[in-house]
Amino acid sequence: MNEQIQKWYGLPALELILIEVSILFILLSTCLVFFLLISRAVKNRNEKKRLILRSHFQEPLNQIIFQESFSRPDEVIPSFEFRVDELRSHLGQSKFAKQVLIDQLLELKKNLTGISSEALVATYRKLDLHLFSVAKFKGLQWKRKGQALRELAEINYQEAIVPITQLLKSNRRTLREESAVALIRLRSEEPLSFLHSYSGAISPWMEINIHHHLLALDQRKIPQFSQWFDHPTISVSLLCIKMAQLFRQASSLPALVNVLRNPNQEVAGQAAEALGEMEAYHYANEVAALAMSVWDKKNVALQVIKCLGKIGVDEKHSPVLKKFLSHPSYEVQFEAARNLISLGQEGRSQVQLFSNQEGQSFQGVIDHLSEPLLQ
Amino acid sequence: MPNKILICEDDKALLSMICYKLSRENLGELKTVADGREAVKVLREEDFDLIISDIHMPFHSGIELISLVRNELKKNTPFIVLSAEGLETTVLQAFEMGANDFITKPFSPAELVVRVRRILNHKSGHE
Repeated sequence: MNEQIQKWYGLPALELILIEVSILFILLSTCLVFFLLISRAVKNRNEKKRLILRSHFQEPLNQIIFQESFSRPDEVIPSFEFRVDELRSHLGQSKFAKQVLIDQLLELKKNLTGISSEALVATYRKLDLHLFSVAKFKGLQWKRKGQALRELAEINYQEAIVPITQLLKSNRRTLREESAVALIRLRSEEPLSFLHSYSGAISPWMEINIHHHLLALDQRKIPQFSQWFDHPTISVSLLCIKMAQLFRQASSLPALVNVLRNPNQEVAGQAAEALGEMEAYHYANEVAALAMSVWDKKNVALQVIKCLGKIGVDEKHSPVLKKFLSHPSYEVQFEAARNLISLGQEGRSQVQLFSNQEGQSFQGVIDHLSEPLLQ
Repeated sequence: MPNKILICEDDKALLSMICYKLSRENLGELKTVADGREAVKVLREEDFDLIISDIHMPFHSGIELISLVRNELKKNTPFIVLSAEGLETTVLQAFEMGANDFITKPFSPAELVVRVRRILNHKSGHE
């Protein structure tokens, strides 16, 4: 073919290739421009449609929110029913319109409380929009599933707990995380019950959301975090220890002491930190008894030392901390010295005595401790 | 003369709902704006008996609007601030700038009406 064209036009092969590439490039660019123009036009059209629909929905929604009385001379129709029918007539069978209405309902709901908010939930249910939301779970698009999760959680649709629980095992991390947060919102009586069967990791995003939702809960509904301290997933254990600490859950303290023996250093260290932050003075002896067993675990040792520095008793626990002054890690030595000094007179004497015995080898720690910025 | 109320809120659904409720309660003549820039323009041109403003808006925040009214325009128009939950420091800042009242979102529309009516009655009592 190329030979024929070359023959016809007498062009060299290289120029012919360049022409072909240029033509291909122009064609592709034209297609791309058309695609962009069409998608822009569709987007603009949808936006206009959305604005029109929103303005149609707003009036009946206002009337539903304020539950205004309505009557017609020929028949008595409850105002709510009438307004819902009005909305239904605007909706028709359009999925687009349904989505616009759901968005509008949720936007209003997040700003309102009391009966106004309840009226919006009733509207959502009366229009069977929950079925529309649940149907999104059957689709393939994960974004639509995520959207459904948020809608159903916001509207507190309890019947969606089962399909949402299935999404905890989704291959997509975002869906797993969103479903966990949705379940916390839906199961206000047992907000963290999903953790019993949760095998994924807890991301910082989830941690922030879980904390946020637990803060909004009635304190009596805060779960006993210690039930998940030994969870097979490390991040779940860590989350629960942190939550026990943040909510200062005193009933979790005995279990926290046991967690100090956890083979995972991060978990044991977190438990030590929590005990210190929760000022668990009654458990200072238990922490001290475990102290030497964490000698080889540097991170745990550091946390145990800090914990004893906070909850320990000068005369009683200074000897325990003193042992860590000879730890091979400089960081541990420094932390032990610092916490001994903070314990009191006995601690300070122990550091002085050790410094005198060790001489120059310990001088670095002493100099470090006298650094003005650390005072 | 009816009271003139300016409502500054970028959430159009909420704006419509507030207007609907206040107009049903015959609380006055309402003017609405959807962003801070529009609010600044309107505030420079007209006088109001009450301003209700969201804290977070495009171009100028509710705090900036209070500052404009109190410091630049030297007016003591009552100001109600709408703020989202968890923005206590912002609310304190709003009070320091001269806000008269605040409502935390989510709120009850009935509560808003009570607060608006109280401020308007208080204002007319002083005049």
